[in-house]
Amino acid sequence: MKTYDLVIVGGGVCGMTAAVYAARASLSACILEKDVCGGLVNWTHTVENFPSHKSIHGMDLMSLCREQVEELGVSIEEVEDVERVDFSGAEKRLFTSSGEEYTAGAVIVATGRKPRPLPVQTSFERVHYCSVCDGAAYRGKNVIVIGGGNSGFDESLYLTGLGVSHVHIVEAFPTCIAAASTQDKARAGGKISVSVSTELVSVAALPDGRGRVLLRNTATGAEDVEETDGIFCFIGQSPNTRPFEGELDLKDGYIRVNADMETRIPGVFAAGDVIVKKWRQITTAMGDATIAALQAEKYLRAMK
Amino acid sequence: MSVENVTRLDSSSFDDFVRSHEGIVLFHKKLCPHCKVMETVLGKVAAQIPMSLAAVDSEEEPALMEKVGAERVPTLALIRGGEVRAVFTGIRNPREVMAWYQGN
Repeated sequence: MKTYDLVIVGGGVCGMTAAVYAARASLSACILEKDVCGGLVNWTHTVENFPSHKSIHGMDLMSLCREQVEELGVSIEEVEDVERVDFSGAEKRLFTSSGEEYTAGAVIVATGRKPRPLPVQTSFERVHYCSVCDGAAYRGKNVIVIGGGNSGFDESLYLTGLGVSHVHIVEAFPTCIAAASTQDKARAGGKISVSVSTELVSVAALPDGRGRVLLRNTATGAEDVEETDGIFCFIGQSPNTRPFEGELDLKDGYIRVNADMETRIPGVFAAGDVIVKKWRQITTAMGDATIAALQAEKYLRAMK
Repeated sequence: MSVENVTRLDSSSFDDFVRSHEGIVLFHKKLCPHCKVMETVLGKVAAQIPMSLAAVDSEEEPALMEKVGAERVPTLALIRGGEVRAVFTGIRNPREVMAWYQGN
């Protein structure tokens, strides 16, 4: 069993910001991260809305954060998935995939969100969620990107930059919500086409390894068949709150907190993308984390 | 690759490594989030099972990718008995990698 003043579940920008504040308050703190630190920001090809960096790869930004957290003496446990929690007592207990038990006087849940899977069942194997990991295999080929948000457009630009011949972005809603400047850049290159009000109906695997995709225009009902070499899916995220079901108050899977990031359980705080709120940005996650860590410190001091 | 005691391989050293070691070679790519996860997973596995770890940058060594039949990263190549015994692409947790390693 490992014991800390504060356990932070999730090592994204939110969890790491909370860790910085905890360390500076002389709390013993530990981050439990199911993958590696950085969270969704690791998947962001270019971050251009973080003050102090005009343009930086998400993973580079998160590496800098991780270095700072480590230097401050925070324990970082990666590939350590919290599977079950017991928040019933004053000492909060967390049980992980490695069989370890962690206890702490306070917990901050900063588990963020995970990408939503393709909304249709298919035996087509070339469905991807990471263009950096999988995009190189599609040089000189055509792919479909599902989702016209910022991720869909950013990743499409990355794919064409790799040498993908053509990207067809398919968006179910009547307009794409990606930043206007990104959309302009994508459309200007001539290698990216966009279909709005278009839903993915089915994907069938062809004998040659390609996929046959059935698309339907939601406004007119017209259907279209397209053959593609691969599909990349960027249709948003859902919250990582499964271990906290039954313990914390959830709304549509997101954790309800008050303005001080307090959950319904004293000593358990939540922050970042995982809480009920409107805007989910790197900077808003950091703001939430700051409040949660300061409030956790106040709570722990009061308990002593 | 940031895990300690990892041998970096290229086309001039790959075959020698395969002939003389037993372990896992990770084919990875810079700024690949899944690759970072698998680096950490392999570090945890190697802490429990004695093995050699090596890494190949897939962008610098496309011929080696082709040699093991890998198109995407992260790809793990299991090295045993002087040959590439098994290849796996994608994400697995430490327990799954241990089972895969011990079962091949």
